Amino acid sequence: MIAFNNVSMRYPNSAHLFRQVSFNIEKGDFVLITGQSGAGKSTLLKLMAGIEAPSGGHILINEQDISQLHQNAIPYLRRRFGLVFQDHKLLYDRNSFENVALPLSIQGITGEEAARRVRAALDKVGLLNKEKAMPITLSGGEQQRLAIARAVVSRPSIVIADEPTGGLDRVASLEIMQLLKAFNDVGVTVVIAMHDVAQVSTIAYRTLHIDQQTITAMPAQVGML
Amino acid sequence: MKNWLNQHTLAIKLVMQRLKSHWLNTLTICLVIGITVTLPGLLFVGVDNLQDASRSIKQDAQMSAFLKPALNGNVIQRLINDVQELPQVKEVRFVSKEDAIKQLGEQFLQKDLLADLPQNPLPDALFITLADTNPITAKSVQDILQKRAEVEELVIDSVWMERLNSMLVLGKRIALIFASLLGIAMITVISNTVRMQVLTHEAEIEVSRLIGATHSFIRRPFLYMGSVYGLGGGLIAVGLLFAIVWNLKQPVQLLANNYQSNFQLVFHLVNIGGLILLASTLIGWIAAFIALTQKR
Repeated sequence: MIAFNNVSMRYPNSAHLFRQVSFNIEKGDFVLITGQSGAGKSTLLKLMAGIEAPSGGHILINEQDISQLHQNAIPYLRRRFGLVFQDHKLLYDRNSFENVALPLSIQGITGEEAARRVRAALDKVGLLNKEKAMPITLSGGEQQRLAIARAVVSRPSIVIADEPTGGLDRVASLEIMQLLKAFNDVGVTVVIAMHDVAQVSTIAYRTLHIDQQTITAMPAQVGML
Repeated sequence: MKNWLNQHTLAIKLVMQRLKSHWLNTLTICLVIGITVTLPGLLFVGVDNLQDASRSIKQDAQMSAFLKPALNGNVIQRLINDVQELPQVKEVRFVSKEDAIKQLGEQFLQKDLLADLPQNPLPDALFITLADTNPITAKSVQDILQKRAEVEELVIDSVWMERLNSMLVLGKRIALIFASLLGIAMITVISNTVRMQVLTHEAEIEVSRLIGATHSFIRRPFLYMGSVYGLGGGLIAVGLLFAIVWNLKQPVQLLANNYQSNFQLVFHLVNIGGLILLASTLIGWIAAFIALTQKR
């Protein structure tokens, strides 16, 4: 589903984050990308979503080399992903419903169809009763759940989450991880960048560990709380 | 197709919501644009009216032939017949010097003007209406009449008509230059406003980009916004011009009546009004486009 072939990445005027790394993520995988701060976890996710371009190598999404894509095709690639960010990136001048509806309106889906899908997504994350609430009135955990609802509303095949539990307490973190696992259980590939794997409770996951410009794929394991 | 329509409808709705939520700001910008457009608009209305007036004058293109004194009636009649037979001439009207002094007296509300004068100073005259407004026609009739011994002086109305036409061309050009300069000012105002809006919605743009919004999806609301500002300003300008023309109509008509003219000040809503709306909307779109192409 996602294949990195000899991918290198360095930002201008800085050292390589990683050199010629290769790995595969299969459909339905639950993958954690771990590593210290600044190791390149977020960059790896950005490369997958076409937000950043690699310095070398090839990235294949569903066997399509995204480095060969025209600039105009990148937005359509991103629509295949559901993106969750540590800082939520919610629009604070719009209510919960409108925030979740944003990806649909980008795809030209409006009206009843959009309303039905938004409510279904809000229901899945347990925020159906807060569809009129402004994000600022929600707790940190609720804001992240709202961000997850926005990520899944357009039914992506891959969800990418960058430190989704950052800044949340243990209970809220656990809820978020369980929510992401619930989407994984219905076939969605989930890739999460995080530095604290202790938050992964009884979830079976694969790990890609970034260290010293290389990525090590660890065997599948079940997290312990 | 449905998705494309949905996206445009959504962008228009979004723009209207944003403009409505800051209605005072929107109104101020539209007023500034409206007044900016009104100024060259007034010039265009003026030129348009003068053009209308010149067209009506052109329809009655005339030439006056003043005759030598002491010509007898037969000679004058022969001249009238000869002129009437010319294909370039539509109509010939003879005004004797007696009738001329009488008409002059009536114009100056003095019934017997001749009583105060030792003799009638006015000549007999032929007032010739030409068949068309072509200057070549006027020139050919002029050549024929200048050779006639009965004619002492010829006054060709087309000379001042040509001057009026030249003045109209100049007026149009000045209006165009004025409109271009104010158009640039308008672009600056709208461009800055749209740019401020872009900065205000930077977070939304960033999120939209990340979750798959295309370049056109992001730009569309701002382009519509610029166009709406232009259209709003254009509507205000059309309203202002309509009010100004309506206000000036009666005094202009009174003035024209004093010069025996039935000239009326008009505002061609479809032509001039439509042009103003189209131009201001287009300028709004261009201004927004410029704002969006500037690097952040």
